[in-house]
Amino acid sequence: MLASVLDTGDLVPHGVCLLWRPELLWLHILSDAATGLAYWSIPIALAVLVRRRRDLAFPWAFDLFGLFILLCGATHFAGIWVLWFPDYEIEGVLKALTAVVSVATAVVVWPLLPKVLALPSPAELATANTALVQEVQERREAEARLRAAQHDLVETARRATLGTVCAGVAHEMSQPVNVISLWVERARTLGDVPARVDRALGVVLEQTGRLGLLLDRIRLLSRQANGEGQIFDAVAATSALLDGTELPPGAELSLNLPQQALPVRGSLQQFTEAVGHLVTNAREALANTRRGRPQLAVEITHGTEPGTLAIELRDTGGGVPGALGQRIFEPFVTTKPLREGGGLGLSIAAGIAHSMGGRLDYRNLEDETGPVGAAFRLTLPLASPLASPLEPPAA
Amino acid sequence: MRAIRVLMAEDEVLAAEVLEEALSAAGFAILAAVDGQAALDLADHHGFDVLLTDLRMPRMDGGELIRLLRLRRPNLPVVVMTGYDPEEARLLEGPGPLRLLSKPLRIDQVVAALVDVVSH
Repeated sequence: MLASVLDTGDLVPHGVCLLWRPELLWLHILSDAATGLAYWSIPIALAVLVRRRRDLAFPWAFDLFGLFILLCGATHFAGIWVLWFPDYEIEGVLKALTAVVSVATAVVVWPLLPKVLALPSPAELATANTALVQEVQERREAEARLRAAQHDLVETARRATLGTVCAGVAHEMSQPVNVISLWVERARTLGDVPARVDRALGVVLEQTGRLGLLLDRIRLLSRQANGEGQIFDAVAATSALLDGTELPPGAELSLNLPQQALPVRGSLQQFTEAVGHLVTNAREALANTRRGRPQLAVEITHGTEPGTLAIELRDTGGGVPGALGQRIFEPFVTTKPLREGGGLGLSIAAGIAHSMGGRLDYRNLEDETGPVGAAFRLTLPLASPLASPLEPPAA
Repeated sequence: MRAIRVLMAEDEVLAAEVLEEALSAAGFAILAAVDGQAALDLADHHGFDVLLTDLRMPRMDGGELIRLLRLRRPNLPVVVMTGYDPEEARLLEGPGPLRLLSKPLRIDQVVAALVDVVSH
């Protein structure tokens, strides 16, 4: 069969059909040559594309297209060849191969179409990329704003702390200076004082007066650092503070905050610092207790007196030792180990409560098994008598 | 003329001792208490014309003492002795006369303030 196909003995070249007319021959030769060369240039371009772009989707499809076009070109060159050499069998085999590859390509191209359409176009990728760049930029700006806000917060906290420390130092130092001043002044009035002793007492009195002026300046510094009083919502401020609070592992925080805003007057920074000290105190008590499941309950209710609110923190940290009593609010009085706390937090909180026209109380909590923990209650006056009263707590 | 009766609340005993001595010498009658609660107890059984009080004291501070005494006597004359910024103590302003003194104190200053609020 193959032998008979390849046997070309009886056939005549295709040129005979064209009667060897030169214009017809040239027409066929030039047309086939141009078409064939053009066809063969395309697979070369495709081959270069597939080699260079390793990330192409469906690279085998490009190989298939290349082979299909290569064979199409070959049939045109065969068309020129058979003008002089009647090798129609070879031309036929080439056409048959072209047919097989063409049909295969045509069959493959349709299922491939939706997959290719699903690929994002360069324009889409560019849009997505632009959006991504914009998002990164927005994120950077948000981070910058966050850093600025954190810096502001640290700065106000630092100033508030400076103000509180100044106020505390002025208060503590004024006590002994006051005693010295009063006794010396009294001694000078007792009479029969030798002139030289009176002179000495006069110098001491004058110097305590200078110390008094220095203390006034420290108090002024404390006032400036704390900023002017403002009206703010104690509920929101407490809620914001608790949002950023971490309790010891396993400890549970239960909140009971009213829905409406409760305005108080004073320095927001100082208020936050005072409640922060109470939270820190509870947290450290919870961390040091071995009693059951540690719990901190925070509740804001109306105070016992009209026109006040009370922020109460109840912990299960064991409570304040009875011997300490109200001294817990004095500076440097603490139950904590030396490394953990300086004993200033509660005295600062009490001082702030006081400066806002309120007060800080505590009581120990007990159940049938013994002491449970402590409840610290910060009572503050509401800023406006028109402020809506809280619902009375359930009995 | 009757002596001005002063209810004095001061927890610093050395300051209280010399104040009591000096003010008595200046002609005042002194009821001395070691803290706010003691002053409140004294007020239950003794008459007085003016309250002279420290602010930070154990058991009951000066602010609470003023608040409770004003419930009974809204126009009570008050002289406050404080180691804190006296501006902060402005919150203690009430219907009656109030003078704020910053520590360290001068005895003549205390005398003048007591006379001032009583004669108001």
